[in-house]
Amino acid sequence: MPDRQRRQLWRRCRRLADTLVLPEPFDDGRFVAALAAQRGRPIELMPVNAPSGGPCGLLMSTERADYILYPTTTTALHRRHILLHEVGHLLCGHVGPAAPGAAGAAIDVAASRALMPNLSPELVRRVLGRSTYGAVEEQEAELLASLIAQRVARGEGTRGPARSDERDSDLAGGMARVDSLFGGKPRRGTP
Amino acid sequence: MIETLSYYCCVLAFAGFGFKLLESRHTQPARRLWCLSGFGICIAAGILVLTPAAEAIVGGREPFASLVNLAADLFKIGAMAFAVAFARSLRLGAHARPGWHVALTAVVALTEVVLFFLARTHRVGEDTAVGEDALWYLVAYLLVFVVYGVVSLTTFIVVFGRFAWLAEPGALRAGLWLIVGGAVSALAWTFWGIDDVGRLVASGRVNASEDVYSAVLAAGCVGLAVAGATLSVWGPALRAPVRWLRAYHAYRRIEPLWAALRAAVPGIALAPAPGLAGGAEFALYRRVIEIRDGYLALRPHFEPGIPALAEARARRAGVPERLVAATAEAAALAAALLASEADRRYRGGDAGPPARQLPDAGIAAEAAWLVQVTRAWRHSAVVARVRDQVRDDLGVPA
Repeated sequence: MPDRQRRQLWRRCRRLADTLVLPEPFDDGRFVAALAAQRGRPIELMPVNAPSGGPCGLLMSTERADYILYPTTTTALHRRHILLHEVGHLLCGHVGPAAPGAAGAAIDVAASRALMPNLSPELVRRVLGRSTYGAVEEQEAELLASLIAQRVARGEGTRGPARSDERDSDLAGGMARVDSLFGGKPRRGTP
Repeated sequence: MIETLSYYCCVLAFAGFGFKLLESRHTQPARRLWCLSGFGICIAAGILVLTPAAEAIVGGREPFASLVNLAADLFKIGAMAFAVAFARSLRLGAHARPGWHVALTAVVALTEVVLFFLARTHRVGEDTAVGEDALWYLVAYLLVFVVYGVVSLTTFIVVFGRFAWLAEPGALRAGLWLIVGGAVSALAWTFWGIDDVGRLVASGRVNASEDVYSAVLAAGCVGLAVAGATLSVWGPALRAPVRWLRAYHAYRRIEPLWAALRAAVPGIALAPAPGLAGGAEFALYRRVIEIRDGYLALRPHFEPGIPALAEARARRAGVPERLVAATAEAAALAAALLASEADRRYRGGDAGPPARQLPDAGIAAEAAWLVQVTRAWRHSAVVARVRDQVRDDLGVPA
């Protein structure tokens, strides 16, 4: 990828990542639910035992909802990343390969049929699988997922000042007041 | 030196507490902010009036030359009163009634003024001397100041020490301990007044300005208090290089594993993030994810029996228990890489690689685990034996 195009990709992803409101502490379910509410379309999270040779994460969209399939056989950090990658496709408005025969598209479709055999192929509007990053859409979703994860990681180390009630005269109330005065403020940096 | 330290204290007190006031003006009740600003102003003014510059302005003229000492002590009493009121406002809330300490302060301030005038002090060169038969009034003046200081600062230390003890480890706790350190320094500064009592009884005179020990203790008091109160602002900036170094260290240590996986499964690498683009923490995150992607891509090549075999061998070889799981994972991965090279697939491999389920989804825990796996993958004799055995079984050349 040429340098100019790469810089544009980073800029676009950073801008998108900066506009997101991330729950603190971060929770996959709450984040996705808020995104679904914002988009006005349900997003269903489906942990699956993905078959080998197929993508390790999948986004399928129908008229009614978006489905994010992610593997159970990996670590929590990796699962979250795969989920964020598929969320990245939604945020970027990716539509999938233009040609049904494009590289990887057939594998994605086959994987989606294997994982959701009860879903009629006619209902599926979009299938995006996470396997390699040859396509720009995959690179964009992957970079955006990494930037979101980075913001989540930084947010875990900082938090907002505690809410304090001046009427609480017990030690816990005192501690909350001390926290609100000396405890620091939330910070969000950008990589 | 004393003059420089004194000016440093004044500037630090005004700047540090001024900043804290600006930062918290919208979140804290007015009374608490008054206490904080009162403390900052009084402590700075108490130090300032005893500097040579202030003395030069007064010019040794009586009664102003002697009154400067009274003013300095009254400012210090004010600073301690505001410090205790501040601690009380945090402990009991902004609406708490003024406590016993306010009454004590009023009595002490009045007593000090009366004793000071009864002592009929006057300047003799660098010293303050007392009037005829008035020595014990100044002794009492100094002792009252010391006792008030000990009572006030001990009260403050007890309240803040308790907060610091109860706070969770982190910037808040460190900041509170720094504030307690500042109060301990102030306590030592107050105790140093006993030295003046001894000198006064022996010679009838006492040094009019601060000596070098007092200046150092004052600097310690203001420096630690301001550092503690503002730690939440500058602390994260201090941690950033440490975080960068940690991330870079882990990034380099997992490199051999990442490079091997990338060679076996080139598709795991994200092209737009070469090297340290985005910073060391971002680069480490990418490497961890790409390693895990490599694990998933190698799924069909994992031999399900290898982890148990490697674990048993590791225990027999005396590998410490905390490293057994990492050794087993490294052995399974080494075998899978060879199987991938030989294009050998195993039934049951779809169950997945033996990715250890870490207790949280944090990058630090995951990176630390992969550092252990990489070390075993490179240096463990158990992994080397498994690798040799699989190589022989599959006929892969060394």
